[in-house]
Amino acid sequence: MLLRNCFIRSWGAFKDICKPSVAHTQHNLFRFYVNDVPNDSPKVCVVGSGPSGFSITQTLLKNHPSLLVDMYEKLPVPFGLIRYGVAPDHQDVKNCINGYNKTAESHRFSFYGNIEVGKDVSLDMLWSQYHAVILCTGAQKERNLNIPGQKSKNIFTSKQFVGWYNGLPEYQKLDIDLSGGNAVIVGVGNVALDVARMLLKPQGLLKETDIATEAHEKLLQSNIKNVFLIGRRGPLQMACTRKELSEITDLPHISTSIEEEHFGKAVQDALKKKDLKRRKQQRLVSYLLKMAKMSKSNVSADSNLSVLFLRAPLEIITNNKLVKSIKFLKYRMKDDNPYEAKPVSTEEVEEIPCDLLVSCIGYDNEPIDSAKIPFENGKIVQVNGRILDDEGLYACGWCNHGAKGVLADSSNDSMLTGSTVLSDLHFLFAKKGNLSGSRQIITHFKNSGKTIVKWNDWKKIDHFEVTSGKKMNKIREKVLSYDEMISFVRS
Amino acid sequence: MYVTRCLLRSLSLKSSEMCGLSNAKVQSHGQMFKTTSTQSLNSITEPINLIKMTSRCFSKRNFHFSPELKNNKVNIKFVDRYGKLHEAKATVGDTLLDVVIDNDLNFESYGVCEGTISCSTCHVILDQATFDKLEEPLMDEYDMLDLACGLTDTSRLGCQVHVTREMEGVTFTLPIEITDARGV
Repeated sequence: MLLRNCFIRSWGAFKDICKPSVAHTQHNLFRFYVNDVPNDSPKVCVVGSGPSGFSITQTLLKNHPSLLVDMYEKLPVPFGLIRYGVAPDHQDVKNCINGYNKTAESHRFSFYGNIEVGKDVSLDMLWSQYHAVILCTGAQKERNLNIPGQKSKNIFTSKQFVGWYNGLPEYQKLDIDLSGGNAVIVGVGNVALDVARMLLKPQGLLKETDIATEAHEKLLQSNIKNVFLIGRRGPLQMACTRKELSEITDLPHISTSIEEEHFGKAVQDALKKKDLKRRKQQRLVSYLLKMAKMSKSNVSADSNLSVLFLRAPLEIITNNKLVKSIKFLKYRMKDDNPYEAKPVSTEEVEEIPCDLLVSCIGYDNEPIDSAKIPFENGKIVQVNGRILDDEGLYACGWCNHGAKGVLADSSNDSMLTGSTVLSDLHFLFAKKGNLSGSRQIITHFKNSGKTIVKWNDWKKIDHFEVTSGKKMNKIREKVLSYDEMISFVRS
Repeated sequence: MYVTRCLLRSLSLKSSEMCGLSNAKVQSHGQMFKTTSTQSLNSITEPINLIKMTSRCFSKRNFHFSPELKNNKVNIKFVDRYGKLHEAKATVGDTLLDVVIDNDLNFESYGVCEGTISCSTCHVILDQATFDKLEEPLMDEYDMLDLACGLTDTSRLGCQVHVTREMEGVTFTLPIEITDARGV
């Protein structure tokens, strides 16, 4: 027994030498061999547990020997849009979670879920307890169509529809009617294409993913055969990627309709000029042009994707408050520069039949605390992520530069803002002195009875979801209620 | 003797490898299994199990001791996003992402999607000569490179470039530009 314990101790000590941050194990075998972090370490608060929150945490932990990171997340579960935004058939994108799990095992990292900054704890309180507070809260404010009839039945925002099939608890009871034949999606970004693909993809291909089971069952019963994607501008302004588009158009049972009139000489000339910065757009538009020219006589097609450009929604027509059709104002492109061209109204109105409408027109930023955070033209005022000089307040990710960009952009922004934080940290520590970090905040919550979800609690939820999923031959069966998630804390 | 060499070799491995935490390497070799830290660490409390585990780790890593396979290594270099030069030993056939992981180069946010062509964080810039010798990228790689910041004419995804003997002494550069280059 003594020899066995000696072996465990020496092996643990050797692991400390090999790797500064020791992996946290279920049995906590080696945790007590790690030196306690001194109380006077800089303490950083990250608000939000999505890609930018975890990426900046990785940057900070890697480049500073002793700082502590406390991550606050308003939901009981982490990972933000990776969990609730990325489509169920894009599981590879979610591989980034493996890296985030590894980061979470650091003894210098703590996770506090089910705490909403701005509601459960004020930004001022955080700012008084931490040397640096970094907002990674994403872009939460949905844009509205702002047209008559938008409150009619069977009209949804992308947040609602995507949240519905991705298991976001507040949208599980949505009454989504898929019995009609025509779906109109306003918007031509990757989110719009995700929604279109969920409606058109053979549902057998989704059954083993982490799609919400009830949503999947509803999609299995869907009668939607025609999906219209409506873009306000032309092909060269289309926000989606060629890959996302081809994921639908390459499906064997889909026919694709694209109007060739939008690919005039100006557009075709633009495609011929080599421009690396525009390469994504050029490859997308070349692909669209190819699809437009092909008369895709697909005898086995039972569904159709139509991409309509240069149309702005005007009015929703209803029958008994249920959406029946949508009127659009048609535009034409005005300027010579096809990339910068502005749409101009033609006064022509078109009506498209519509049984389901989903608006995927993007998100705006909204400051958590408008009194403290300077906000202009819909964006947080910041320089390299630093919001206020000398104050230790930062922003990273979509809440910083708007709701666009993919994982690589979150990573890049995290590195930039992370560098800013690290360069300010010495000054902030000298200015603010030793701070208690989460201690007072968590004590306050314990006294108030608020349930905090720690990382170990999330692992219980995670394990439950994966185990439940296995029984149904799925990657994961998500817990669909916040109360049920919180019940794991007490179990 | 073989067992002793396994044990000595295991003690020289970094803990992340022992735990099989480098999932990207597993993925890029197209292997279907993944190890987890708990599976590996649970079994190391007994010396016999330690030896068994190290030999399993070696088999997963395709780690060999035969002399002829020593010639399967080339020396390559990486310049990281801060301009610092890193030397690395690369096994012919491995991807550049494998090399970064195996050499513990620890580049931030590199290979986030673990080699599944779902992001562009393993973006590297090659010299023209090396770039020209490579096969044309797949459509998936083009699609992800489209979204990469600092895209150049000789850019590739590190998870798709396989090391060859001709890459001896070649330098691969991570892009410094981190602002959104797409601009449209």
